[in-house]
Amino acid sequence: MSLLEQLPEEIGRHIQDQLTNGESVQLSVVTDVIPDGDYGREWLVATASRAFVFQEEGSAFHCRLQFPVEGLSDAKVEPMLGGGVLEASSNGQRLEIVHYSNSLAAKFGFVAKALNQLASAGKISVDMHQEEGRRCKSCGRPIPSHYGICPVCVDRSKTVRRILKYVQPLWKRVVLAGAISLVSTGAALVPADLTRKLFDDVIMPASKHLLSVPRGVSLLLMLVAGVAAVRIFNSLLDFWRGWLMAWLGGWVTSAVRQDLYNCMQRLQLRFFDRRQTGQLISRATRDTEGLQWFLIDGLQMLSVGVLMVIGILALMAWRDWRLALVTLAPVPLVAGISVIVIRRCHRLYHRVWHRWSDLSALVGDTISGIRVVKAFAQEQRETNRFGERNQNLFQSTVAAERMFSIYWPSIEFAAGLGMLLVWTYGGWLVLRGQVTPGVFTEFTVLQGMFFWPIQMLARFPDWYQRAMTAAERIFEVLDSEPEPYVSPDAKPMPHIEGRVEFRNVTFGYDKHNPVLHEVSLTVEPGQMLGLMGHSGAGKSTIINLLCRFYEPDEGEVLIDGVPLAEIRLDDLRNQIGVVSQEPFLFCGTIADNISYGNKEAAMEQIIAAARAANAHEFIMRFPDGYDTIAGERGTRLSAGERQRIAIARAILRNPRILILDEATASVDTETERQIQEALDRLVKNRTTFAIAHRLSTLRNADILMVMDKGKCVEWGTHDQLMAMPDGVYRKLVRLQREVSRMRVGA
Amino acid sequence: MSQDLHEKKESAPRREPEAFRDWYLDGRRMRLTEGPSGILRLTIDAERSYVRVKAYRAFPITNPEEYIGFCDDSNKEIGVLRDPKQLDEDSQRLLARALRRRYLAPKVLTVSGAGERYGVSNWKVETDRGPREFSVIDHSENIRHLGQGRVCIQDVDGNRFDVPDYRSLDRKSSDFLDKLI
Repeated sequence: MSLLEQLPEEIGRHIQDQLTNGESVQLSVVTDVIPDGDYGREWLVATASRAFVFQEEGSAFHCRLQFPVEGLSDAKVEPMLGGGVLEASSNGQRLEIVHYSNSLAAKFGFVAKALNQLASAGKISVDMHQEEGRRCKSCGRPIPSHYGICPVCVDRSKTVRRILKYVQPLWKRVVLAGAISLVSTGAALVPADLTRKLFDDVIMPASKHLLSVPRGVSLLLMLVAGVAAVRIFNSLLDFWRGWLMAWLGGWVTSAVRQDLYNCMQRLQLRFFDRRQTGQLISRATRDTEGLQWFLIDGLQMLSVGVLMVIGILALMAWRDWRLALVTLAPVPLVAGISVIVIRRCHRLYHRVWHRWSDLSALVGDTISGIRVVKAFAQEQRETNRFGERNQNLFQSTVAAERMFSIYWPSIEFAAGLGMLLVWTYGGWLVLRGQVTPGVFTEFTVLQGMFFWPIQMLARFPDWYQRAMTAAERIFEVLDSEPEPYVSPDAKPMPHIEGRVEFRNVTFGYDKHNPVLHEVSLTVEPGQMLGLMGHSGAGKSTIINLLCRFYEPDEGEVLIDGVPLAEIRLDDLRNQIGVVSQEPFLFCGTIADNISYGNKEAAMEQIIAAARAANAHEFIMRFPDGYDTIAGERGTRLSAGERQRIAIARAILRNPRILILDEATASVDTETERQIQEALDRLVKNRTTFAIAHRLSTLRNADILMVMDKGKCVEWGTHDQLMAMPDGVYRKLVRLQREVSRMRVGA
Repeated sequence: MSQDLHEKKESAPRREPEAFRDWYLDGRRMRLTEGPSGILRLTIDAERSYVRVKAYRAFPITNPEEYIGFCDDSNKEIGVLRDPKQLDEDSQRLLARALRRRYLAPKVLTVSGAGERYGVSNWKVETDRGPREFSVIDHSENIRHLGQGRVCIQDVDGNRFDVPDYRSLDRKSSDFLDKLI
């Protein structure tokens, strides 16, 4: 992306005529919507002193708007439905510059930034970072989220090579499996050939009385014994191969799964921001499962299928090449039916799958909200809604099954056609004495064996594609950049003093949309900083940067004078403790949860921490005490109880830097007092960042910072901020006093 | 603390009408005019005036023509107008234009040259705002059938398209939509 797009010649000429000495075009971008809301093209062109908007009218252009760049300020985009508008203040007046559709939203975010720079600095230095979006980086095609990666650009052979790398150490077993397949295919053909022998050497001579009965019986018994032996041998081989392949496939996928999980734990948070949790879980489960199926069953079917087809063809051609050609005639038909029917089925089953997820979403929704449903007496409505979706699911299932039920009968029909051809042509050859009845019989048997592998091979490309896409999705995670746990420049910092400094930090989760603007702050060791501001003001972002969950776009964060990037990540995170608004408890005992991240903690330490967190009392009231199972499937703990367990966890960890993220939100007054008491113990001698709405949490803060729209608007002690006549803080304090008075009054 | 109370009392009468005002605006007492560079100005009862008002639909999909909210320059709500037909003709026209600008959700008239591959459908449509080409992914999420043939589409970039009744489109267009719904 560039902000100097090619202008149409006419506009270019027009501009060139107007330029004065030394003036040059700094910005030229096209938009796709004109101000009345219709699709149409306009060009925004700007130099360091002036800006123009040209509108396209047929093949001509006219200048719709012209305004000076000097005196321009506060250029920004206002998002609207389906699009947005670029606005700026020009000499005190608000100006709508151009409209655009959402396709160009990212570009105009940069344009707004560029205009501001142009007005203030006379030149543009926008860092045009391309967001990773829903489009493929190499071909620009949109990527459906269930693919996760561009299905067109996937380099499948590279993916196969990567999978083979996992198989490499096991090559002996792979060769063995291949050898078994070869032998067992050969063995599978023996009974067909013995059938020929049965006809030509036993039945035919016997029916013409050319063979004595005892000789015939002994020959017959020999053939029966031969077939039986081959069948037993073959079953044993199939069993061996199946077991071997299952082992191989299972081994490979478990190695892939392990790598995937290790990698996921170390990924940057940005990776998780961009993707839905469900999608990532399905990569770890469904995709590896799909790959496993392919490696165990798919590859087996492929190797057996190919060998089978080759073996049958070779045997047929050796016996009689004319008859072999006739047998082959229905092959294109079978392959065609397989490809077409299966592709249609695939689409229909996809719809079934969607309707299934619709239905289960509804069930999940109403079951979790069953209290609301009952309280509003909406059982009937929910039942009706379910009935509707259930019906939809039923219909799509029937449609899919109907299509699939065409499959086998049509394959059998095509195979039956082959049978007719073999009978007709083969019978004619027998009648003319050109082939023996045994050969004829052998062909009918082989012909029957032929179409099973053919239909399977026809479906193989589809399996292959899906398995490779699954594999590629897994490899995408493996290839993503992990957090810099092991960085060569990082220094160990076993003991953090706790001086925290932000220097002109600018940051945005999307780079064109910063949520922090040049924030600077310093907190001395042991001090407590209270962060205030509306939701979305950037408080939590400060915390995220301090924990180095994200890297600042501009500026730096320092601890004890060392930039975060140069501190070993383990050392940093081991010395930061977080008590968040909705503490997460893992499934395990309360003791496990308190000692999370501190495995060696003795029971006494755990109790001491719980006591300090005012949690000991309520824990002891549980029948299972510290062994009570907490977490999603465990005992229901109240918000205040979970909060105090989280505080105990932080106390036990004994961090140098403590983060309290609205730790007393949503609890009653008594609980708040207990938590507050626990927090007061916790913050002693630690550098603390506290986010809070309630002033009571912040009463011990040494410094307060009030944030608004990603900027620090007020900074100082309580007294300093109260002394500001129009201060935001002062207003907040007054408001809260009013509210608490109202409560007392009530 | 008593000082706080005192201050509040003093400022109360001056600030007022807000708390007593009905949410709903009376269209017969409102007038919309056009300011410089196309901005919208709202005058109520010829006495209160707001420069640069913004108009929003309360129900952009289910009832786009009624319940229009108005905000002032600092995004503070002025009120909701139940039925824009109460306005005088000039104001109606200006309001319609402002809404058309804010809600870029063209009505699809015909669909042509659409194809689907690898879960991406590519559309070539004729709309009431001109021709457009776009791609849709994740069809079950982004193509919503709201009943009675009404279909809302969101493309890969977040652009919106509206099909009032796909069944009444030409055969080719409606077949294509039918397959995706």
